Amino acid sequence: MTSFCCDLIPVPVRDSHPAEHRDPGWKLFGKIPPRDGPIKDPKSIQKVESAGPGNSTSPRHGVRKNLDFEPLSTTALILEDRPANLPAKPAEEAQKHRQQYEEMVAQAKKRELKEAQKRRKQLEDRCKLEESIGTAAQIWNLEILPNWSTTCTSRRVRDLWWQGIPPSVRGKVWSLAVGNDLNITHELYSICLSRAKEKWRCTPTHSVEAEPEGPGSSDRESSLELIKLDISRTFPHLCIFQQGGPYHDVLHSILGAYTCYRPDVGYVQGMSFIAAVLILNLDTADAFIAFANLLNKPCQMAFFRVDHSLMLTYFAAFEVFFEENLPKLFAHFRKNSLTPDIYLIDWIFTLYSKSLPLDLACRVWDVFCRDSEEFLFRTGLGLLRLYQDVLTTMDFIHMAQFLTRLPDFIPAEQLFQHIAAIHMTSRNRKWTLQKDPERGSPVLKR
Amino acid sequence: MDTQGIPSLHFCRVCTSLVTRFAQEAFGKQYKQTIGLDFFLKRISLPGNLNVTLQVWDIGGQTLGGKMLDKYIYGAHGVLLVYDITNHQSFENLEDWFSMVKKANEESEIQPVVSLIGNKIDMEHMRTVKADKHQRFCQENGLVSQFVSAKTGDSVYLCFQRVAAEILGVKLNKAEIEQSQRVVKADIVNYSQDAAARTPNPPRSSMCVVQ
Repeated sequence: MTSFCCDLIPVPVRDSHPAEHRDPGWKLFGKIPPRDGPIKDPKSIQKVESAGPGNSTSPRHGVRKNLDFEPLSTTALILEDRPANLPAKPAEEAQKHRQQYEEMVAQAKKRELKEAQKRRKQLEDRCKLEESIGTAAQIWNLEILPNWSTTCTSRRVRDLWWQGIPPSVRGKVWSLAVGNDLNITHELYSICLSRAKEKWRCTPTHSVEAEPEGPGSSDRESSLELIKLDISRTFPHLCIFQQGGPYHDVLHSILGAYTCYRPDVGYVQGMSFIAAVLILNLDTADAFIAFANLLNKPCQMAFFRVDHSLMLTYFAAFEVFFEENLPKLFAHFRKNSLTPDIYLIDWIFTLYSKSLPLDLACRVWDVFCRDSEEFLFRTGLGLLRLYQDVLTTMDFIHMAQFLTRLPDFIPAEQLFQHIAAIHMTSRNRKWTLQKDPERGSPVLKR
Repeated sequence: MDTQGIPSLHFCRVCTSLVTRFAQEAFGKQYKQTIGLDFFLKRISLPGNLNVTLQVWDIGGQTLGGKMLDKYIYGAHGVLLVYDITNHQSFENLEDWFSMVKKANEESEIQPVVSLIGNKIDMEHMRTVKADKHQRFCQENGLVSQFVSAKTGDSVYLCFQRVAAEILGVKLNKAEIEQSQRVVKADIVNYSQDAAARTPNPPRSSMCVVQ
């Protein structure tokens, strides 16, 4: 009974406490209109504001209220008369200086006003973008994902998909779209990982005079070494995959587990980027499942097995659509003997994650998950189309350099418009996969 | 490949660290992976006010091989075969690489000047490839012999300059060689912290990157 009373008593006390302190507290949030506070509060805000030093009378006050910014240069630039111990300026000069001063201030104000407007516009755009991402995420979560099998091919979903999957559902959508034909379970991942860890334990960390026991074993060992080295070279600017970074061990585990899952493929450069992008969007085991299934797609298998004749088949198919879509640029490339392997190898091996800014690469991945390999080559053509004008002015080495190191800033919307303008049909022929499971090479079908 | 009077030389692949060191005069402590090809352009000068533009094709990627490699090597004026003096396997692989270079240019009118380059001389204490082995390979095959450190930048500029001079039949005198030897500045690398820096290039990233 007593404890109940004791519990009761503090409640009103606690409640009345903030009420007393509310007024000074509101000063902090002076600009935010109180939603459900007492009506007298806004008045006290005004009081606090107008009590500020010299604000109420200055003509700037009105400007400030409207724009929410303080014109810095006008406060920093002060026109003063000459010190008293010096002869005063002639009236004409003083007049001229005042005029110049006013012009400068006016100009500075104008510039700042412009900047403030720009900032506000940026903020508005960002809010709008965030809102649209929020709405899209809701649609994906509530409408599309629960009914995946029936909705995923609908027109509306495909359109939404093209606009980019919201980051919060991206991993889930990728997983569903890539599928799990290999039926990999979380347990299988654990088994592969523990096998990999065993191997790492057995391999001496560094032996200078290690006798190679044959091509096979030395290869595997060097692939382990290569994984270590490549991990530190994967998105180095993000600083999360490097030694000591939060995702270093995760990336190491997935790549190691894969070499145990597919020893015939092993580790090939470029894989670390694919695994890294998946890790950024999925939990470890799910990332591994998506990774293994993704690499099992015909195009990825051809490349990661380094099957050169198949790779050349892909490049040849790419060139058919290149010529069809961009005949002028195609002729220019041909004249300079710039062949697609020079730039496509990087793009296809890493699914653009090394070549494009990460957020843009993820958008390419989105549609790649929807349209599969065809979209990778379509993206390549979209990039060539986007930079067509600048490329036609370049010679071989500059083109090669440009395409192997794309600009840091690539306008996303523009790129996607150019990709959309690429048609993957050539004289009624389409990019189709040969049905032969052994050699899933692209063929052009009528 | 000549462009407007300036002789332009087309070089082939070096290990990535050496090329970046040469092209950007910086040794990336965490440089990027080369998956396919990388291209660099660099102007160097030779005695007699001779300016040369070098096109360097870095074929460091593991994912290239066979037919494609032949294509990239064909027609090159110079080829730099780089191995790691602390890794014997990387030296042994060069023999295959050298025969591949010879084969690729069998039908070409110009035969490339080939240079054998031992990298990582800053790690002399860990050397596993003896210097006389290196010299013998050079003599037997008529290669330009050089030693560099991509990390410290030691002799990197000279290495490109010497091959360019050899191709164009220009003689470099001793004073010029000495001057070039210190062109590329060194920077300090924290050995204990940076695993990538400790092994600047994998054993394969010399000329032997392709299996």
